[in-house]
Amino acid sequence: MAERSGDGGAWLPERRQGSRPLWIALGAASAAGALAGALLVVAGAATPAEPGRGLGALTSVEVGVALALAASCFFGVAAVALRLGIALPLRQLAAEARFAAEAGAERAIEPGRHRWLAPVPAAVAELAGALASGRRAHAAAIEAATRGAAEQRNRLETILRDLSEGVLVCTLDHRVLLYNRSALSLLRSAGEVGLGRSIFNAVAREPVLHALERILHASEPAGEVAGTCSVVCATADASRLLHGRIALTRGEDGEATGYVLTLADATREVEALAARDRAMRELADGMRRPVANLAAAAETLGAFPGMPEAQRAAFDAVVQREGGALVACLERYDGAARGLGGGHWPLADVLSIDVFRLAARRAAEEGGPEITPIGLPLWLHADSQSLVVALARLATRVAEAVGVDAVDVEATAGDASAYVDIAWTGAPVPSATLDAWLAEPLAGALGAATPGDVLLRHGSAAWSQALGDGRSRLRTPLPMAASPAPRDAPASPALPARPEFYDFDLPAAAVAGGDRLLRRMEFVVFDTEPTTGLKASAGDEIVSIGAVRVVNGRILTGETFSRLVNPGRPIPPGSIRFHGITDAMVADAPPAAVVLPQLRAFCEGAVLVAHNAAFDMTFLRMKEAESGAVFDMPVLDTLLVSAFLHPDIVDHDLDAIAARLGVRIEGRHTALGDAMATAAVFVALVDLLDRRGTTTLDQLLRSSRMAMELRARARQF
Amino acid sequence: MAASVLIVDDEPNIVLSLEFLMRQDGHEVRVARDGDAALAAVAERVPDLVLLDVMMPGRDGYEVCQAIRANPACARTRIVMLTARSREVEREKGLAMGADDYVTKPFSTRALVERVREMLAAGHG
Repeated sequence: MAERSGDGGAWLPERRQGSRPLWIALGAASAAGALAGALLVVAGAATPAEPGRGLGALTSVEVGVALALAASCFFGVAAVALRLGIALPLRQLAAEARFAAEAGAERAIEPGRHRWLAPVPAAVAELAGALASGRRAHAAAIEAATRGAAEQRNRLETILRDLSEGVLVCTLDHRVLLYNRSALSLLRSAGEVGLGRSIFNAVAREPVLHALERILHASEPAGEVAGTCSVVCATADASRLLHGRIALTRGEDGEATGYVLTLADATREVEALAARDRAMRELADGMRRPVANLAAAAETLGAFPGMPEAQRAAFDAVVQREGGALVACLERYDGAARGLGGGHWPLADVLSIDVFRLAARRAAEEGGPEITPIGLPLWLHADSQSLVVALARLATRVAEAVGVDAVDVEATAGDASAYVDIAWTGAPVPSATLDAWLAEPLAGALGAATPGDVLLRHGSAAWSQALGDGRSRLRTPLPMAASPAPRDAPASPALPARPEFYDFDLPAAAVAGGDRLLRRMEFVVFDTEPTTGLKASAGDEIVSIGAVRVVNGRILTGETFSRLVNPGRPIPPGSIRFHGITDAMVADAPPAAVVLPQLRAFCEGAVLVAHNAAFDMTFLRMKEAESGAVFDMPVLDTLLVSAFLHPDIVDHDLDAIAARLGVRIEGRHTALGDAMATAAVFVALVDLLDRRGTTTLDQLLRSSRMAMELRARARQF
Repeated sequence: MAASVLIVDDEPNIVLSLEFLMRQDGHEVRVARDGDAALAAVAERVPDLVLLDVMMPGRDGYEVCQAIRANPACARTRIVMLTARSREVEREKGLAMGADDYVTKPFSTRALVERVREMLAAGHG
């Protein structure tokens, strides 16, 4: 047995070493065991009992026992070998494979450790590898698809949010899948609008069903936009009339999956149309009777000149009374028509500077004059495209007639409307000449028109008048936008006042060119927004700069400088509400070192102006070494100018000064908006200075310095 | 001394009434049927007041108004525009062009006579 165990035990260390194939060891062990068993049986049978008997004398029982022993030895060893060599490694491999499957751990399986089972572990490892790389590709694909979907969703959300039309996406059983803000505000009063709810909670059922039927069962797609249909319907509570379109949404197989309904409020248009119809009818009906009576009385009087005096008096009374009735009828109609507004031409809110820029480009293309937009931008309610064409044409005609090659355009706010003025140096345009221009055909304006038609669409007229100073203007009143704030303007928060800064480096001595007249000088009015939105504390940086040129007392609206600046540090979240600029917005913006030289170039030859200028100058000077942009020109401060002009008033906040000077400023939420507002205030201040005898730059710098010293001293008490 | 009133209108049916009413009120009246005749009348002798129709063939009322305002000799001449255009913007245009008042047709004859009397009194006062 010792031998057997020795033989049998021989593979154990080998297994640990893993150096010999399993089957050789197994075979050897089995053979050795069987041989040893057989020998023992043979020896036991021959030696004591019948010593003379050879091998050939072995009984069949002995052989059987020997064989059985050998077999049991073989199976015993084989079982151990199988367990250690195959079952355990297999279990291990299975666990590793499961781990690989669950966790995606590619390296969990090492083929080298399972030699006995080779090439299975290698194959499994390969499989795990393929699985892992498949998973990576899958994950990447999902990420890309998610990103794409998110982008598309963002785009769609933007479109939906900004559309003034209400948009509802519905299933074929009329449940709402998606709606935008406009839809909500259109339908809110009528009924509940919500995801998964029936659209008929808010919109009348029949017109929608009818339109869908027309699309679904139309024999041929009508026109270009197949699968859509216009719809006029009411809200479910019949409070508003809506008009819009329905379009089917289709799945990949082309089957209709639902529909998109776009809606706009038509109540006003429809009511205006109805009112116009009613007014027209009333005019005709109202006139018929007095006209008949008047005509009959006049004819009778003419036919019978010799009628008795008493009879004649009765006829005179009829003429008077019916004349009065006609006048009343006409006035009623006129009042009604006036209330209906300018007509049905679609107008939209548009910023004056956008119209002016386009008009300037158009005039330039047509060989017209150089058009310079001046003043503060104003929101107009206009047909921008027609207005651009008409303005460019009128400016061109003015230039030809007067013999100038440059005109200014400006929008100013009146009481009821905005005035758009073309101004030039020279005489006013004769009324008849202007009328002829207004009657010329205008190529490129919508709805084949003349400049006069364009003005009529806006309920406007045009006239030319002298301004004094040798200048004249052509004025057209236009409707102002109902709400002065543009749609995307961030709600302007109540800004805490910036601390006042004083810069005692302001030149006390006369500067070069200091004898120039303020009214004839060139200024750049600018504003900066620091990261904190408040004060130039340690580590504070600029996030945006806005500037506008002011030349000869005119704000050159078209010549502005507006840049976001990457501050190179995170923007404190708390300050975003002051300037509305986020880290994401400045991520791709250039740093101050790039922007400041651009600003310096914009300011070339000009005197700088800012409100509380020392504050902004701190930033510019701080960056001088880094950017190489040296701002060494004279600097004026509207705060100090105002303090000089009104020394007894404490509040020299920009809004306060503007209010005092009657300057209307809007859009104060960006650096450029603030620069524009400051420019408007500055121009008004220069006017006031002029009247008070401060006319040159030197005088103003001296006065500013005086005001600053007084103010700084006053603050010490 | 009677004030001189120049009536400028191309429509005889309204001129008939205006001329009668102004004479009746004691003014010295001249009538011009179009813009050119109006300017010729002004050149001949500066009137105290002009009743000026806007819609006329040739030189319209605005142009006549502009020309009268451009003439320094007419600094004291009052101009009342009479027009069949009733839009607010037309009124604004008329006043911007130098008219002293803007009356929309149809108008009350009594109110017009009253208005002219007031303006002439203010002009002489």
